[in-house]
Amino acid sequence: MITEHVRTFITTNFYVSDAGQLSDSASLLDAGIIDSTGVLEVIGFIEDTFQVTVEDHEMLPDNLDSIDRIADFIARKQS
Amino acid sequence: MTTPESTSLAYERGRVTFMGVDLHVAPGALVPRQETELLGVSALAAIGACHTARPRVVDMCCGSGNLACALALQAPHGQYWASDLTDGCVAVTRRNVEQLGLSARVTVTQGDLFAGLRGLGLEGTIDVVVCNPPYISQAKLAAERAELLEHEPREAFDGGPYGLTIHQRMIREASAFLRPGGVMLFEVGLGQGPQLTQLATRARVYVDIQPVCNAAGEVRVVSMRTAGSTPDGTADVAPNRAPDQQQPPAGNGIR
Repeated sequence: MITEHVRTFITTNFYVSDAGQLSDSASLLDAGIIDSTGVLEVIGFIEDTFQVTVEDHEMLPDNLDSIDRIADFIARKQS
Repeated sequence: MTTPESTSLAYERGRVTFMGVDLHVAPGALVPRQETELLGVSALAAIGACHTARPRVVDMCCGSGNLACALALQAPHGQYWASDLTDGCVAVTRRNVEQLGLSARVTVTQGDLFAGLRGLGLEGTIDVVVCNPPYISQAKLAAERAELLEHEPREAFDGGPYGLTIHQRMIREASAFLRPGGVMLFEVGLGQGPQLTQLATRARVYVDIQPVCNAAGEVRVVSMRTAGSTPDGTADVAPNRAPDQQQPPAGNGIR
């Protein structure tokens, strides 16, 4: 559920050449989808949609660099 | 545009002109870019707006000391600190400060951001912080911007995985050193202006967060002020967090 929500946000708000080819585990940095001009939008999406607060020190690839990682991060924040 | 060839040539000559000031350059420190003069001019205006007799100014991530030296020459009533992490930058900055006869006004320190200023009694007293930090993402340095590393040190460019790591740390750490109403100015990469605005807004200690555009209309500097007294002496208050404020369209076009 969270994963699908994240996927929809990423593929509709960032340039993804072929959304069907973007796996949930693919690195969004390596794919050139999210960089310094996009990461704050992801943070805003997480905070606004899932009612959690993301601290600046949590703005890390470990938490944000794939659809799976973002979904896992949201789940951890909500638990 | 600065190319590897022009950087190499600057190192061969050992000199570069920045804001009309002739500076020494050497491998180990970034060659000052003409585009950074926008940050210098903006900082000069902020210093001019200070109502103190001797404004205190910090040039953080000073590189060759180009901003500190140019500002100290053009606003000689100020007191300046230039700080950087690496031996190469500190050595070049010290040489420039000495050659320009600025040793009485510019103190050169070394450390990891504000660690270089600790113990000097500067907390809560700085009027202006100017910072041209590394802001290229690691992914870009490994690919389309790899040419930057041909002659110049990685530390001058590497802004972490998203290119914003040093900006984030500066926004977090500078507030302890700025006086109430003190101003901080950053250079930003193309496309990073809205991100910096959001980072500063999220910190909840800055007001008057303003983009500054170059002649082409591109945001290349972002300035902000700690809540407190305004230049005209009136008081303001710290802003509440507004995560949905000024949301720009998402994109990934930084160059």
